[in-house]
Amino acid sequence: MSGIPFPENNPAFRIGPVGFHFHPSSILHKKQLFSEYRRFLTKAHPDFWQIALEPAALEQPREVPVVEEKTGRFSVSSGRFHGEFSRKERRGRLRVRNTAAVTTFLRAFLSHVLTKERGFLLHGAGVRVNDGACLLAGVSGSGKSTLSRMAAPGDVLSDELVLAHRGDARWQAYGTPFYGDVRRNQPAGYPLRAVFLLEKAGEWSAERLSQSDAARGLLKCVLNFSAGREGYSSLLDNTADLTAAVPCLRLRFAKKRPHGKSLTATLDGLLRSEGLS
Amino acid sequence: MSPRSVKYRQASHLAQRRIAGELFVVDPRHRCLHQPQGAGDPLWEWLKKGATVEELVQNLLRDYDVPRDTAEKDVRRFLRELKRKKIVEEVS
Repeated sequence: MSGIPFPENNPAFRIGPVGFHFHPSSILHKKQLFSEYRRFLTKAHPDFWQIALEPAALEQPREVPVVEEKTGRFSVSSGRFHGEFSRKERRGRLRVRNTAAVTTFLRAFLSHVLTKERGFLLHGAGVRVNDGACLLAGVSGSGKSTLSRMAAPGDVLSDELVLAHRGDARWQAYGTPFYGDVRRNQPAGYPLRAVFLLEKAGEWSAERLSQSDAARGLLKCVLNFSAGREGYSSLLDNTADLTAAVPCLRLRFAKKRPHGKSLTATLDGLLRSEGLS
Repeated sequence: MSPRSVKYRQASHLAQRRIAGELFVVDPRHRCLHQPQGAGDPLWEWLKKGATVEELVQNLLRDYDVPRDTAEKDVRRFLRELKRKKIVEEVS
């Protein structure tokens, strides 16, 4: 947190290409946001989403977030939070039952905003491999945390949700503050070298997937709470673009690393054996 | 209106595109992915503008070497499946 005054300033942080500048009405919320997102804190920028954060006694039973968009304004809500936002002004107001709800809100908010900005949040672990990163995509129980534990601590972008974004030139993978069992998240972004769809097996192997098989597998791992056609159309476009630009493979893996190699070396070796150095 | 003159059309709430030649159709209401394959692929395309059962059968007979019986069975089975999934609608 060096260079970021606390607690005079409001917390500003960046998750991949999306910046947030929260304006909490309570000092408790402010402290908790600084603590929860400390690795992702950065200097505030005018392009960041400006979000007024207020406590609220919400009593709705719904747990799964819902996103609804109409003519440039959208709402993100669940039983624990309710927010309304203007896409054009990049600002809005979020009411939460407690600070923990901000994490759930951010997942829903990011998944919605990113689909229209050439990106998405994916159920997957992100691991640095040489100068890039590999995405290990899979739903709950597929082995994301198991594999993340095999990587060096500084090489894990997240063991639960990774942000993929198409920049000007290529797809990048970014760490997120969302984690499962392994809290080693790194905020950095790296060129996305490959996507592996996870499958538990007795031995390690990788097999290149056709674009349509990759798209089918990837769609199961995309986080999306919007119920509208437009959001899904963008999501299909992003999926088509990513699977055309980035090699996608099926990764069959065992619980133990082959010959004690690091996960990074193992993935790099599998990519090279497929001619993807 | 007689059943033979009923026109069917893809439901308007769907998101869809082709990826590597394969159809990906998503129903946002149920968060389901549908992938019409085989004869279902061209039948789905013909349903974009709307078509009766007879028009769909005629299109199949024109483009594929199949007996009329088979074409009619395929069309009816496909439409039944789409109706069950609520991704096709009747238009007058």
